[in-house]
Amino acid sequence: MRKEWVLISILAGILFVLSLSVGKYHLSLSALFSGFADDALGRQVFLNLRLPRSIIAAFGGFSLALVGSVMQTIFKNPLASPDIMGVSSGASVGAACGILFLGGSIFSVTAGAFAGGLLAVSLAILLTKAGDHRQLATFVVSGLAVNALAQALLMLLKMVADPHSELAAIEFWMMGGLGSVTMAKAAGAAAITLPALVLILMLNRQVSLMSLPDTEASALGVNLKRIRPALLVLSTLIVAGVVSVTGLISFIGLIAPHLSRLIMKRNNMSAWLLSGAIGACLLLAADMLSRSLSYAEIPVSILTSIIGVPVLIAIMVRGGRLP
Amino acid sequence: MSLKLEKFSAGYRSWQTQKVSLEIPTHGLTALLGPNGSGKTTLLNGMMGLIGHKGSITVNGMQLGAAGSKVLSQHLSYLPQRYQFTYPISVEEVILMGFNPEMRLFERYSRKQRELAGAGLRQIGLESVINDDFLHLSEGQRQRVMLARSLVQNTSVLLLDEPDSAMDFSVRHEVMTLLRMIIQRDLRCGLVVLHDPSLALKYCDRIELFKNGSIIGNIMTAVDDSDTIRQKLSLLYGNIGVYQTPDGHYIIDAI
Repeated sequence: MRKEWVLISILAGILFVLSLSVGKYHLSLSALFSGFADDALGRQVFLNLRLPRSIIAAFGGFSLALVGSVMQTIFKNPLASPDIMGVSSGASVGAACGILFLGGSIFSVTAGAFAGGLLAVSLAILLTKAGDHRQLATFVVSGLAVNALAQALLMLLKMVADPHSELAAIEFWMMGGLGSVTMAKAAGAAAITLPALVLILMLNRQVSLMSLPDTEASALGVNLKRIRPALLVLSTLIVAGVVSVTGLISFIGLIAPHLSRLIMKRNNMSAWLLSGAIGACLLLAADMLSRSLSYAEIPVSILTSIIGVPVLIAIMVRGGRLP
Repeated sequence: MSLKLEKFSAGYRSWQTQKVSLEIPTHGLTALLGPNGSGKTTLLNGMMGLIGHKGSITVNGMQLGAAGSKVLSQHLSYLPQRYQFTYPISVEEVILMGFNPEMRLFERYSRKQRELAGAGLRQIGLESVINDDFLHLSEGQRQRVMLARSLVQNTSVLLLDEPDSAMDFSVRHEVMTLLRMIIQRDLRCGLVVLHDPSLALKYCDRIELFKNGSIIGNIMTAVDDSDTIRQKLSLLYGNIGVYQTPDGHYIIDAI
């Protein structure tokens, strides 16, 4: 195993244990390891709040980053990611519809997020094809258009939402946060996301072949008309499954793949898994900061954006030449 | 093993190549020679099923006109003009991709396939770069790696689109020598799009002269004399001189 893998794994492990400990109700490391023998409240906090929250931070960060790697590979574009392509904002509209029109259960929010995400990515692909799809700018502008449309729809939905319950639920979802994660929600998200994650990893050879120009991939026997939509549906399902419990999480899917390629100097299955591990570290760290920087919890997307925006600018300035 | 086209047309929105018929026998290397924009790449793309096409394409007697990408890739390997990898990728991974046509969707590369990839690289004298980044190789090395990929793809027919376009003089000859060796040793057949008539005369058994989407003549390099070759090449290039050296090679010159 490469030393970079060992270091990132150790870092993820440390962040996970710290994530179990940090918060308004401090759980000491010794209490964690002794099993809360004389602290019943601590035990409750651990089982009902910290454990599901930390699992989802690690799992969600891993999934979003892995999807980012897959998208950047199959679109042959270092800016392709759930955020830039509008999947996340499309998922927000879908989730808002789920909250407004379908009762707001975890299932309706997930189904809404999935449908919205899929519609948004389809629209972004159509717009990109209409322009020069090899240009980074075309990608960004397509995403921008989809994001703008999604924002307009969201405003419309917020206008008709009940200000006391539904509007608050939409706003809370949009800001992203892991504060409301429970074990049941975590299990629900995993039930949707895990099978798609396993399938996408099993298709890693096809993903890798799709890093070639379409003509070459097709000449090597890749059925692009089936594989590309299948990978997009799986990717969107993963994003929808995660964001249905975490709310909107920005930039993890964009920056983790870049960091991984920077470390591995490759774009293969190992690099995608490392990207996932980096994504887990980023979201664990951002979530810990979100609940410890101030008295009120800071929405986690604010923190991931603070890290992500400079990286995005660096990619733009260098014309996408980051690894 | 042979490749046969009968009344084969290909194009994007309209038919840019018109009813092309040609046959390439086993261990034969045929050049497709013609000016820019004449439809040579379009013809290759049509044969690979990458764009619209009609007419008959037969490999070893098997009709492939309506075959999907998977079946086509089991019979035809395609080497494009340029290799556009967006991200770093190891030479071994590039070669392993050649096994895809024979693999199931979820199958992983086996140890035997990795050994064969290494053997393919050894055959072209590049075993030392197996773990290197493909993007860091020279154009000549990239073409040789792609030839190694077509070796593991193990198809009867090799289609190459201007492999000489980005190479300097010595690399161009090195790659063509290697291509000819592979075609003859493994009893395959090859169709290679070229711009340079002297390269085609030196390495190919036959030259199809291509203009405005159609074949307008052909040259049998071992049979035709220099005067016949000059007359036929004039169909493409106008007034040119063709001179034969004492060792049997040709020098082409514009007049």
